[in-house]
Amino acid sequence: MRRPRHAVLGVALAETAIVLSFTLLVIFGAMQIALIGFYQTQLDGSTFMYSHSYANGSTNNAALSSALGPIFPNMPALTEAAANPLSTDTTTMPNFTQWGTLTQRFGGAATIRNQLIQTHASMTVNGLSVLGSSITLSAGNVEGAAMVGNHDDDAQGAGYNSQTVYNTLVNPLTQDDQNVPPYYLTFAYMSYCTTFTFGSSCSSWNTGGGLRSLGLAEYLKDDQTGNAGNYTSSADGIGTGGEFQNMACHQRIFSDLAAAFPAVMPKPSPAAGSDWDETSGGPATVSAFNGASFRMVYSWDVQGTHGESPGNKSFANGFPLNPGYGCSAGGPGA
Amino acid sequence: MRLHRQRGQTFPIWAFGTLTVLTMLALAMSYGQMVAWQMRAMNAADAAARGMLSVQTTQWNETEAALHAAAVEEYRLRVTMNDLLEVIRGNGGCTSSTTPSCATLYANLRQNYLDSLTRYTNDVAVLGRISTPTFTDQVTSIQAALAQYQANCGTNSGGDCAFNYTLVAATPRPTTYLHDVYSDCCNMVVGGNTAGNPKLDLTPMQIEIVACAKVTPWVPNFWHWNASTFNAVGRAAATSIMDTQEFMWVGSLVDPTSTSSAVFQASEYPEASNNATQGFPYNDQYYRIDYGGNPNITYNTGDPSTSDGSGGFQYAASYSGLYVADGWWSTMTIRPFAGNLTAGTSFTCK
Repeated sequence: MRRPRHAVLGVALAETAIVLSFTLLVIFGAMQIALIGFYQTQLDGSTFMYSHSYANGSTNNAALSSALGPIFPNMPALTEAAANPLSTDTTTMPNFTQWGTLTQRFGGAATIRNQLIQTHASMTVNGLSVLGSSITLSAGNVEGAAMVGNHDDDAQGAGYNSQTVYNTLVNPLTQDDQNVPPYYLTFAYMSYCTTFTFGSSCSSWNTGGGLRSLGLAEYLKDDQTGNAGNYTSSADGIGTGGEFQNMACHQRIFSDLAAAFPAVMPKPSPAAGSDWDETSGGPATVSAFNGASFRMVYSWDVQGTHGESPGNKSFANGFPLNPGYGCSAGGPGA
Repeated sequence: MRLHRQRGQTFPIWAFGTLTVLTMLALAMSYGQMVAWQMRAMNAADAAARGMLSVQTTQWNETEAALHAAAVEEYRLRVTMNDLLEVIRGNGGCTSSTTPSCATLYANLRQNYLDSLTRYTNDVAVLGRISTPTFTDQVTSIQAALAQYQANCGTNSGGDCAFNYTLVAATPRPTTYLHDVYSDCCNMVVGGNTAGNPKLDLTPMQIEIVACAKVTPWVPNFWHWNASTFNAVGRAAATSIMDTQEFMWVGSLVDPTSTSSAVFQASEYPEASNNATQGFPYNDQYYRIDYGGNPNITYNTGDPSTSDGSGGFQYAASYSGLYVADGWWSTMTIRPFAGNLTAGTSFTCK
C-alpha cells in the first residue's frame, strides 16, 4: 500500500536529526577523549622528566621548566617536593647503638640514601561539551636522589631512620666525606714490653697512650708527609712502584723471618743485640734471615699513640708510620 | 523528492567527522608514542650507565675486601711474631716453671705464625691480581661489557633490545671537588674540603651512555600525512661514589648476621693449639690477639666530632685493637656531561 506523499515529508529530517546528534556526540566525544589523552601524556611525560632530571642534579626549576616547555607545550608549572628516604633495614647492619656515645666510639657508618623527589602536576581541561564541562587531570612521579645519611661516619650518633638524619641529608658530590677516592686505612695498636730483659718477665708494659702503632702495609690513602701514601704511586698492584708494593715487601720479610723460628725454640743469648732483638740495639739485617731482621719490622711502627690538636695543619701528618722500611731497592723486601 | 534520494545525507558528516577523529587520534597516539619511547630510552640509558660503571666500583670493592683480609692477617702475624719473641725471652707470662711451658707455647705460636703467613701470602697474591687494572683497562672493560649487554638484550644480563648503546664519554670525575684521605699513626682525615689528587687509576670515573632506537610511528601513513621514523634518544651519566663509609674496631662490633652475637673479629689465642686461653690473665700483656677490646668496656675512646674541620678523627686508645676505616662503592646517576652529541657520529641508533 502506498502512503500519501505528504505522509513521508519530514521523516528524513527527524532521522537526520537523530543520527546527526548521535554522530556528532560520538565524534566530539572521541575528539575530546583524544584531547584528554594528549594532555594526560604531557602530564605523565613532564613529571617523569622533571623528577628524573631534578634527582640527577638539575635542580634549577626555571631552567628545567624552560627545557621541558617545547616538548610539553601545555605543561603546567611543575614543582618538586622532597620526602624522607625509605627506611633502612637495621637488622642487617651493625646497630648504631653499638657505636657508643659520641666520645666513646667503636664504629660508625654513613650511607647513601635515596631521598624521594616527588613531582606532581595537575591541569583542568575546560569546554568538554560531551564529557562534562571540565575534567581535572593529574600525574605524579617519584625519583630517588642519592644523598648521604648519617654523614661523616655518623658523627651525629643518630638512628638511621630518625628524622634527625632525614633532616640533615647532604649531597655526596659536593657536601660530604664520600666524595673521595677509594681509601682504606688502619690504626693497629699492640701492647708491647718496653723494658724487657732476656730471661725475665717484663716489668713495664706499654699500654694506655703508649701503645705501639703498627705500620701495616694495607692502606690506600694519600699522605701529606712521609712516604706511606700511595695515591700517586707510579704503578698498580703489588709490583715495584705499585700502590701495594709494601704488602709484597712485608710478605717477603715475614717469610724471611720464618727462619728465625725453627721447630725447636731457639735459645738466644740473653744479652741484647742478638738476632732476636727487635729494638734499635738489634741488628739492622741478619744474613741468616736473608737480610731481614726484627728491628726492620719494628721500624715500620710508631711507639706510643699521639693525639694531635684539631685545627693544627699537621693533624694526621705529625706521626707518620714507615711501612716501607726495608722495601726499597737492595732491601730484603724489594 | 523521491524517498531514496534522502539516503546518505549524514554520510559527509560521518566521513569528515571520522576523518577528523582519526587524525586527532593519530596525532595524540604519535605524540604519546614519542613520549613513551623517550621515557623508555632514558630508562634504558640509566640502567646501562649505572650497570657498566660497576666495572670500576666492583674492582674497588674487591680491593677493599682483599685489603681488609690482608690487614687482619698482618695484624695477626705481627702480634704472633711479638708473642714468639716474648716466649723466646721468657716474657709474657711463660717461664720455665709454668704450664704449659714456654716450649709448648712456642710450638703452637710457630705453627700459627706459619699458617698465618700462608694465608697472608695468598691475600697479597689475590690483591695483586685484583688491583692491577688501570683506568684505561677499566674503560676497555666497560666497552666490552656494554657490547655483551647489547648481545644479551632481553635476558637478565642484557638491556632493552630496542636500543643501540654507545659509550660516549668516560672521564675522571672533576678533581676540583674531589676530597682527600690521609692518616698517621693515630689520627685520620677524610674529606672535609681537603683537596685530593690521586693518580688517574684511583680517580672515580664518570661515564655517559646513549641509548638510541629508530622508531617507526604507529601510524606511519595516514591520508596526506606521512610520519617518518624518529630517533628515541636517551642520555644518562653515572659516577662512582662511596656508597657506604665506615670505621670500626673490628673486635668490638657485633656481626648482625651472627646467630651467637659474635663480634666481627673475636679474640684469638695463638699460643694454644685449639685457640683457647691457656690460663694466662685475660690481658693484652699476654699472648692474646685482641682486635678491639670488649664492647661492654669502653677501652677505646674516640671522638668523631673532634676534628680540624676536615673530617678528622683521633683516637687515644687505651688497649690493643685493630681499627679500620674504609668505604664501599656503588654508582649514582648524574647529569649528562658530554655536551652536544650528533646522531650517527657521536652515537648510532638501532
